[in-house]
Amino acid sequence: MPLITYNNFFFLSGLRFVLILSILVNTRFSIAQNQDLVSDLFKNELEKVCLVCKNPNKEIHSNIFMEFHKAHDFFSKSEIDSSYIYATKLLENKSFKKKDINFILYVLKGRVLTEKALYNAAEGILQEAIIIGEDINNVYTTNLYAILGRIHVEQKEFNKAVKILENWKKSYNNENTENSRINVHNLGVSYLHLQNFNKAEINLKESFNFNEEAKDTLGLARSCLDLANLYYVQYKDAIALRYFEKGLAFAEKTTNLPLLQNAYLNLAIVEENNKNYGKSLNYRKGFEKIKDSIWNKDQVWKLAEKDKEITLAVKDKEIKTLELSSELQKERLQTAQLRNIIYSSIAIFFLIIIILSVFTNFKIRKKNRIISIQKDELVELVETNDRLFSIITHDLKSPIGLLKNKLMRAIEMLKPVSIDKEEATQLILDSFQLSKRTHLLIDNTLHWVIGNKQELLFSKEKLPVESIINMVHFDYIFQLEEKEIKFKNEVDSSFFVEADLNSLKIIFRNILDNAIKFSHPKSEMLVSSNCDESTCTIHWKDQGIGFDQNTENEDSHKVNQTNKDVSGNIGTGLGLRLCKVLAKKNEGSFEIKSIKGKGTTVSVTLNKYKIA
Amino acid sequence: MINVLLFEDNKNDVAQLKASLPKNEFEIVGISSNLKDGNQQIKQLDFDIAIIDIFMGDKPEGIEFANEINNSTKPKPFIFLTSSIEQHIFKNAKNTQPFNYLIKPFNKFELLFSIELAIEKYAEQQGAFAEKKTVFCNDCFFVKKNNSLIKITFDQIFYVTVDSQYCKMITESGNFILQISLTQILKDLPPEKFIKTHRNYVVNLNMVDSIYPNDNLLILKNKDKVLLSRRLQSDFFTKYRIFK
Repeated sequence: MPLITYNNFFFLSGLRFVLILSILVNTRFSIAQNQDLVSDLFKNELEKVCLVCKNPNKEIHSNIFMEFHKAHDFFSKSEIDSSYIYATKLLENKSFKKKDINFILYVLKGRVLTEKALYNAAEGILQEAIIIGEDINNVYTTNLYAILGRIHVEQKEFNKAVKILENWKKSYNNENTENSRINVHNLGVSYLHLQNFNKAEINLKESFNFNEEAKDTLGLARSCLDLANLYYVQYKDAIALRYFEKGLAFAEKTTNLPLLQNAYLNLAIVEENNKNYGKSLNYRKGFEKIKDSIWNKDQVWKLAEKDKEITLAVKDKEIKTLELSSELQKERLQTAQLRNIIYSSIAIFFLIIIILSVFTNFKIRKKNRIISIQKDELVELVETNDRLFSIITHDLKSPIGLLKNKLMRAIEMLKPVSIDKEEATQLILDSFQLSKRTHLLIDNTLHWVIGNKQELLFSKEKLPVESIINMVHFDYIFQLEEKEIKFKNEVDSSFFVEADLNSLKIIFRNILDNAIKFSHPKSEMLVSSNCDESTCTIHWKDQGIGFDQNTENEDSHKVNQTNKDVSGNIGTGLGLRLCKVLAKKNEGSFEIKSIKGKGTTVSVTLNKYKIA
Repeated sequence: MINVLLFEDNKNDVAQLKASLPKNEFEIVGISSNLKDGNQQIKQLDFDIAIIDIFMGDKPEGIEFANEINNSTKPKPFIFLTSSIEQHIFKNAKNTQPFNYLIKPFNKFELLFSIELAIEKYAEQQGAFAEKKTVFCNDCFFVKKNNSLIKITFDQIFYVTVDSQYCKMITESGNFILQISLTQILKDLPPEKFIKTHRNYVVNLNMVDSIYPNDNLLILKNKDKVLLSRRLQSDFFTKYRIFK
C-alpha cells in the first residue's frame, strides 16, 4: 500500500509569505513502498477473475490466463517490471474481452507506473481503469480515486486532486481505514496548498480525528504537523506552536526519523521567528542530530549492505572454493580408492602366492620328510638284509666247509676202495660233492653280499696264475676223477698277473665248477694262456654240452638265471655274475664263448704284472 | 725242516693245518691259543713262519700277536688266517703289515702257497719260487724242489758250483740247481763262512775236511773234491786261519 508522506515546511526566512512559497517548492511527495503491494481487497478482486488462482493444480489453462496470472503474481512479488510487460502485452493484444480482467490489468499497469513515478502515464491508465471500474461497479474503484488523488498531489495539481478526492469522499461513507485516513489527509493538504484554509482545516481535523480514533501515532504526528502548518500560515501562531509541539511529541514516539526531523526543523524556525532563540537552537540541534543519525543510518545501512554484499561474495567464493575443494577431494578420494583397490589387490595377490608357496613348500617338505624316512628305512632294511645274509652265509660257510673237509678225509681214508665198501664210498663222495657245491654257493653269496656292501677285502698283488689254477684244481680232484675228466693246466708257470688272490680264486673256482657240471664224462678240460704286452688271458676250454650264445647274453643279466647241467641239476647264474663283477674289479674282463653241443670256452683277461 | 708257530684256538683248524702241512717239510714247533703263551713262544721257540688266526673267540688277539712278532729282535714272516672276507676285519690287521692272508676254509695247496708267498714277500722276492729261484731268509734259504718247499740253513751247505749257466748247490739235504749266478749267490751268503776258492766254486769253510795246496784241492766233509785256485789260495788261507 503506497503511503504518502507529508509536506515539509522549511522556513528559510522570517517571512511567512516566503514560507508559503517554500512550502510549495519544498513540498514533496515520495511514494514509499510498502512491502505488501496487494491489499486484501485487491487480492479478492484478483481471485475473482484469475482462473489459475482458483485452480492452481490444473495445468490446462491457456497461455493468456497463464500470462495474466504471471502479471499479477509478479506484481505481488514486487517484480513490477515483469508484471508491467505482461499486463501491457495482454492489453495491447486485446486478449481478454471480459471487462473485469481488463480492469485488473489497467489497475496493475497504472499502479506500476505510479510506483515508477511516471505520473502522467499513470493518470491516463488509471482513468481508463476507473471508467471500466465504474462500468462494472467494482468495489476497488474507490481506491483508484485515492491513488489518482495522490498522483495529483504529487504532481502539485491540487485542483485535480481536490476534485478527485472530493469525488471519492462522496462514496467513502466515513469508513475509518488507513486508506481513507490518508485520502482525507491528502485532501486537507491539497486544500492547504490551494490556500482554502477552511476546507483544509476541516479535512485535516477529520484526518486527525480518524487517526486518534485508530490510535495511529504516525498519522497523528502528520496530522498535527500539517494542522500546525495550516494555523501557522494563517498566523495563528499559538495554536500552530501547540500543534507543532504536539506533532513533535507524536513524532518522537514513532520511528519515522524524517518526520521527527521536520518536526524539529519546523519548531526551530517557528521559535526563531518568535525570537525564542534558545528553544530554536535546541530544536535545531535536535534536527541536526537526526540529520546525522539519518545520514549515519543511511551510511550504516549502505555499509551494512556493502558488508552484506562483500560477505555474500566472500561466502559465495568460499562456497565455490569449498565446492571445488570438495570436488577435488572427491577426485582425490576416488583416486585414493582406486589406488587402495590396486594396492590391496596386489597385496592379496602376493598373499595368495605366499600362502600357496608356503603350502606347497610345506607339502614338499612333508613329502621329502616321508621320502627321507622311507629312504632311511630302506637303507636300514637293506643293511639288515645284507647283514643277515652275511651272518647266515658266514655261519653256514664254516660248518659246510668243515663237512666238506671231513668228507674228503673220509674218502682219502677209504682208499683203496674195496668192493664191499664201494657203496658207502659212493655215498660219501656224493655227500662231499653236495657239500662242496653248497659251500661254493654260500661262498658266492657271501662275496656277492659283501661286494655289494663295498666291504670286500681286496688287495692286488703279483700272482703266479699257474699255482692258483693248481690250488683251485686241488679242490676238484675228486670230482674230476669221478667224471674221469682229463684236466690239463698249460699255463706258463713264469707269468704273473696283477690281481687280488681271493677274488681270482673265486673266479677260477666258479669256472671250474661250472665246467665240470656241464662236461660230459671222460671229456677233456684245458686251461691255457696267452699274453700280449700288458694283459694275459686265461682260457678255460671244456667239451661240455655248451649252450646257445644268444640266451646266455640275455640271461646273464638275470640273477635268477637257471641252467640244467648234464645230470639235470639246475644251477643259478649267481656264480657267473659274480665272476663278471670280480673280473671288472680286477680291471679285467670275463667272456664266454659257447657252441651248443660242442663245448664252452671261458676267457678271463687280467693285467700283466709290471716290474716296478 | 720249516718250523711253524701256530696261534689258533679252533681245534678243527689246528687239525686241518696239521694234516695239510707235509710231514717231511714242516714241523709245528708250538701252538698257543692266548697272548700270554704266544708271547712266551715267540721268545723261546725258533720258528721260520707263524700262522695266526685273527680272532681268539671274539677278540682280535691275533693282531696283537702279530705286533709282538714284528717288535721282537728277530722279525719273522707270518700269515693271517681268517674266515672273514670283510674289509673292516682287516683294518687293524693291515697295520701289522702281514705277509699274506689265508681265508678259511683252505686246502693244502692254498696253505702252502700262502706260506710261499709270505716267505717271498718277507724276503722281498715276490714270485721267486714260481721262477725256481732261491729265497734267502735270515740264516737260511728256501728253495722249491718237486713242488715241495725245502729250507736249507747255511750250515748245511757244502759248496756251490757252477752248472752250465746256473748254480748247483751241494747240501746235506741234497743238490739244488739255482737259477742265479755264482757271483750273485756269493753276495747272499755270509762272507765269514763262505769263500770263493775257484772261478767255479764257493765253499763253506766249516765243511772243509782237508786241504791239499800243492794239488790245488780241497777235500770236504762229504768227501767231495773242490778246486782251490792258486790265485785265490792266499785269500782262502787268511780267512781259513781266522776261521780256525
